[in-house]
Amino acid sequence: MKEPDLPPDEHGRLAELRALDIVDTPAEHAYDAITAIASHVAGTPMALVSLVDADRQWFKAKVGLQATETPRSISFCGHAVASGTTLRVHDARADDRFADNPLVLGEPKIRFYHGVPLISGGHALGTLCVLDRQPRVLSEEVERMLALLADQVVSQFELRRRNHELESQRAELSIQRRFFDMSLALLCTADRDLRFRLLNPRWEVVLGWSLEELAERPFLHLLHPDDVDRTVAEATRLAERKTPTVDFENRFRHRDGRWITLSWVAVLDGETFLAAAHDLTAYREKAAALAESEGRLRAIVETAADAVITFDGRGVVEQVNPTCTRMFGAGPDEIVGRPVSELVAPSHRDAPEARFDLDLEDPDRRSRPYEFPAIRRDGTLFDAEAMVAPFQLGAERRYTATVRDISERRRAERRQAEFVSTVTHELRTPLTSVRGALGLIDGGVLGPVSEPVAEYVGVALSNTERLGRLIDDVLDLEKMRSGQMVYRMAPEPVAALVDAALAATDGFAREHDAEVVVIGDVPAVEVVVDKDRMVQVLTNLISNAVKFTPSGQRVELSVEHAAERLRLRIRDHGPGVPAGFRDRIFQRFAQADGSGRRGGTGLGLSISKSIVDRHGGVLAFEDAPGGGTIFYVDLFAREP
Amino acid sequence: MKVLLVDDEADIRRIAELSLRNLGGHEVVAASSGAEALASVEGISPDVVLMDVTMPDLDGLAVLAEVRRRGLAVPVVFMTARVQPSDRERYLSAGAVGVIEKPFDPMTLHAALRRIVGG
Repeated sequence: MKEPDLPPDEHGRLAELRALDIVDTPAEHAYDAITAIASHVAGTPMALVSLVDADRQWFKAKVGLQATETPRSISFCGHAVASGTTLRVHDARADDRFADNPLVLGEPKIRFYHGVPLISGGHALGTLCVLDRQPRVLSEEVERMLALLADQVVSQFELRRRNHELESQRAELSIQRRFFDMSLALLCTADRDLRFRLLNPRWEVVLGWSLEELAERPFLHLLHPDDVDRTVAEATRLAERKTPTVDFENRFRHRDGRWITLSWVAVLDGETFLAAAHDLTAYREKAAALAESEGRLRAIVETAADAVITFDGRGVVEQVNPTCTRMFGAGPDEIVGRPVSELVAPSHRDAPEARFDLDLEDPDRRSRPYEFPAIRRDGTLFDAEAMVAPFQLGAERRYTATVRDISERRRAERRQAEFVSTVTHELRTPLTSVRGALGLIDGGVLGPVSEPVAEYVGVALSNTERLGRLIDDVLDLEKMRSGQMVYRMAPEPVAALVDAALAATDGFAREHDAEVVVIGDVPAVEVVVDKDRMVQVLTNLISNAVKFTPSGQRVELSVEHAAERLRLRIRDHGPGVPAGFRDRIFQRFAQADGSGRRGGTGLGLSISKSIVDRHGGVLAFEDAPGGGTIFYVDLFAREP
Repeated sequence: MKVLLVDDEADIRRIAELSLRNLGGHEVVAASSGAEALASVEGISPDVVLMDVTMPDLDGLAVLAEVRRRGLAVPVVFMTARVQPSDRERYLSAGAVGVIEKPFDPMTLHAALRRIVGG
């Protein structure tokens, strides 16, 4: 037996067969009919439409046979396919190629075979064949009929192929249709009379009209009257082939009466406009709102009383407001693009405290204003203060400096300082004379003094002293009020503060026959304070305690240190703070009834509290166990 | 001690002079301004200069600076209103040997001055 050869185009042939997608499909009437006619025409009991697959032949249609396929190796058709020509086997037993073929020896005992190759797409895919159990010869007439029938099978193949193509086209169309339906863009086709033909459902969502309503009449009636001419003009440009596409905007009336702004792209395809539109309404509204808020912000920046400067991480100015150009007497071009440090007077460009473009990521550095002499374009200087805040623009870190001309404030401060110092001097000078003259009389330097005179000179003298303290206190308050009380903060050992306060009150305590004692140890820690001011506070508290303690009693001072808190306590053995006075004790000129006799000004506690507040501390009081009052000052302590 | 007393206020000069002379037994030469003090300081050659800080023409610190510039080692004590410890330090570092606060007690002025000068 000879197995069929593989044809030279086997690879392409199998590809063609796959593409036809016919093997293992159900029987079809057309093939069955052709096969039946072939069997009848040839007068053979068997006929087949056989397709030769890689290693089998499979029967699309069959007459007189049970099998649906056989191995290719024993197939007759394989030989017809290998040669691409009609294979005629008149007597298989007499043919070396087939004599011992199992299909010849056994069922279906083939003796006669006539197979016409089915050539489709240039390849022999199989055969239309007729078979018999006895040797035969077909007339030319019959052979020609079989050849025609084979052509019919091939026609069926072509038909099948076209069906495949149509189906895949239909699938593609249906996908396109789905895109069309789900598109967020407004898609449409329209006739040359500007009547919608095909609209995707998005139109209903955006315009509120049903698709039928939209397609009812030419859409011009839905357009904003101001947009009709423009729209017609664009359609005309397309229709007259002056341009392949148009790109424009117009407004459609929503069913609820609003105008919807659409942005269009349209082409003309034959007699049909194809167009896609986008709803710009929300975008436009957002843009308008943005422009408005931007305009508002710009107005704020441009009309700000302060100069506003933005600069980049290298300290190069990017933008300035009009106040800035006015303040520095320079055009924007003379500031923008240049280092922001050029606004600082040259004398201070090396001073870290004046350079508001350095160390900006240190929040500590940013939290307070930079004060520096600023330089105008013409070289004149003015006192300025800058606050700097960082912001993020995209990936870049940028900074906004708000610069304020504080020369007027500085002048006022200087005037105020001069006033305070002048007043101090002017008030104290006569007081010194009065105090001196009274002192000399009182001391008997000018001759003997009678007792009633001495008594009244004593009254005058003590009131002179009180007046002196009052002047000091009023000036202190004035400095605090005007913010020009200067605090020179430095770390100080607590013991040094206590010692200084004790020294300052020593004489006073002795006069009052009171003893000021330190209870326990003073911890070896430091506090960051203005030493003068804090000693003033402690002196004031000790003096008060001395004043209110009955003579012969002790005033006790103690210092307690726990974690970061340091508490200085001053305890008196006085009558305690009267209930009705507790709320007012830190107010100016607040004095409990009768305490005026003790020579106070009523300002000491108010001043002390301001000072302690400025140190971030607490000044308060509590009743002492067993009578008397404890005033305490809480400060932040640190190890030296 | 011979004291050069410098103050632009006549009343204060009178009181201080009386105190220093009558109570302390010091010899007192008074000057009513910084300029006057500078004009006479070498002729007087005082043991101590007791001087107001705030004066209309030359203030005490300027007088002190000039005195030192002339190579005079005479101790200088300032009298001034409202002395903060920081002011005291400033005066001392400028070369003063002490500070007496105004208003002063005329009964103890001479003693305070003597204590400062150590005489």
